[in-house]
Amino acid sequence: MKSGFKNSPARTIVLQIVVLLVGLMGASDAHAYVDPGTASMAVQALLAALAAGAATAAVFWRQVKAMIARIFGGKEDGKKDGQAE
Amino acid sequence: MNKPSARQNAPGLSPGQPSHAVAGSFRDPAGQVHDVDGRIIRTVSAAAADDLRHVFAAPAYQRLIRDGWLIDSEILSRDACPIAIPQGGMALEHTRIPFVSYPYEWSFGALKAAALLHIDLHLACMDDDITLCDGSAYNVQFVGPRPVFIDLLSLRPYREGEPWAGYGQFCEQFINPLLLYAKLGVAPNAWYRGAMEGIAAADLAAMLKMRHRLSWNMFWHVFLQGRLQNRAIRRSGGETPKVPKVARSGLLVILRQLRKWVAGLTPKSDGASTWGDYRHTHSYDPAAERKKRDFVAAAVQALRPQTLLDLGCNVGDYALLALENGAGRVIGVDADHLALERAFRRSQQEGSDFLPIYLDGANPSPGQGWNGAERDDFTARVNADMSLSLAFLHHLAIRRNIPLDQAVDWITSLAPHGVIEFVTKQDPMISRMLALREDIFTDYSQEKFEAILAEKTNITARLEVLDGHRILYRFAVKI
Repeated sequence: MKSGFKNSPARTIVLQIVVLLVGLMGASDAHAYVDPGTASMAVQALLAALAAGAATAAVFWRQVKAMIARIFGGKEDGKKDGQAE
Repeated sequence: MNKPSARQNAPGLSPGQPSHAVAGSFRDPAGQVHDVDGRIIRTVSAAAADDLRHVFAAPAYQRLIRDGWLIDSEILSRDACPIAIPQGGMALEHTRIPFVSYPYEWSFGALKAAALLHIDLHLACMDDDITLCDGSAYNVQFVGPRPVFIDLLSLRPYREGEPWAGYGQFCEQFINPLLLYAKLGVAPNAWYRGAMEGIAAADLAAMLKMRHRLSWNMFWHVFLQGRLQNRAIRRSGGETPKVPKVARSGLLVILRQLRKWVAGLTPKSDGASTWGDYRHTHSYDPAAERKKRDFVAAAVQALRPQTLLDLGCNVGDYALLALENGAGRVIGVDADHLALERAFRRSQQEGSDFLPIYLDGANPSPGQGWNGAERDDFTARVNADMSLSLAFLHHLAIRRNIPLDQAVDWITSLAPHGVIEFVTKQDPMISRMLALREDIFTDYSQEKFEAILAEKTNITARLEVLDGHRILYRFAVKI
């Protein structure tokens, strides 16, 4: 079963808070945009970065689980909890 | 095969000049679409031709055409091309779309089908390193209820790391109008027609409720995008913007997420009636309806029109009847969104060549856009051999106060043959219409109607139903 967190409002809220914090810290480069088209590109870039981050995290998580499984001699079952797209 | 093309009556076109550049195609300098004696020919500039050769070589290309996702094209040699080919460029002939419709005329189901096609096409192309350079809903047309992507020049080689330049446009022209239907229960057609570029994210965001912000997709694609766009407009005049990098994997995730989101959208229920359960009401008992159906079926069988225009198509009963009786295709128009949605779904399910679109007969889609000619007006696009106007005329003549002779004029100008139903004032439908208003329609009588119709057409058959409260006429316009 897939994690309920993935499509949950909780995830949305957490990510929205992250985006807000980034915005407040002034780390957003939205200042550079002068054209609504570039604003759309910024949204895309943010979403794509999040997707890449999530994919990396999923790979990392699978590796951690595999390592734990090896250490404790349990059966490797990377797919079961996989977050893979 | 074709009667004199209605296109020749389009504004700015003299009847003696059937070949012309299609006005809606000027924006892309990579090519130009021409209508040459009914043939659709696209010239391609030298710069764009190289990209296009790359597209032709992609394995997906033939598959997309075979599956009907992409318009078919044939490369024309210089000898076979009736117009000049740009130096170093090329010319293509496309299959002609029988009836051009615009997104502001589509039902929810049609807009959704078009959006899904756009994304599916993009994803399929990305497998072969081809991307779509825009996100325009005007690049999708319908053959019956089936969407087809028509702008070959939107396809070009993908450059690693580039964002999808058409994302914002895709949101404005597909996502945001769909959200108006799905989240607010508002049909976007009138707004869309006025704002041809689509519904801006910030405008939609202003109308959505607080709880919609909690939706993952709406947060990003509507609220955040709208906010950043507004901010960008306010800050205009700053540094030159940089194009951000978007990884291929990220772009694919965005496209897949958009697809999943759009696929799950349904029109917001209005509570009392759901869209799926929508039923039309009419004054007919089964016996009278059978007589009416037989009359219409006989007229269609006699004429076997290539294109039939069904004015006031409702949920498509008579459109489907016409197809069963030899009509090649049916274009249906109606101003009732619930009925249109039902009609579109029926057409999809039955795989019929029936396209129901939104149109208010008293205010049909005008010629508009740049120079008033970028999008053709409805009457210039419809090229019907036969019209059906069943229980339609009184909506114009009584509900909308259009003088009877003008209403008949308009209907008989749309096709050379037709069936028209006259509903008398004794019919309950009209009694209801007149219950709350003064009857100022002294000219609205069967005698007057018949006199007007007989002046313009030869009446070839006539049938009284429901105790003479309704009369059907079959006519041929006098030449």
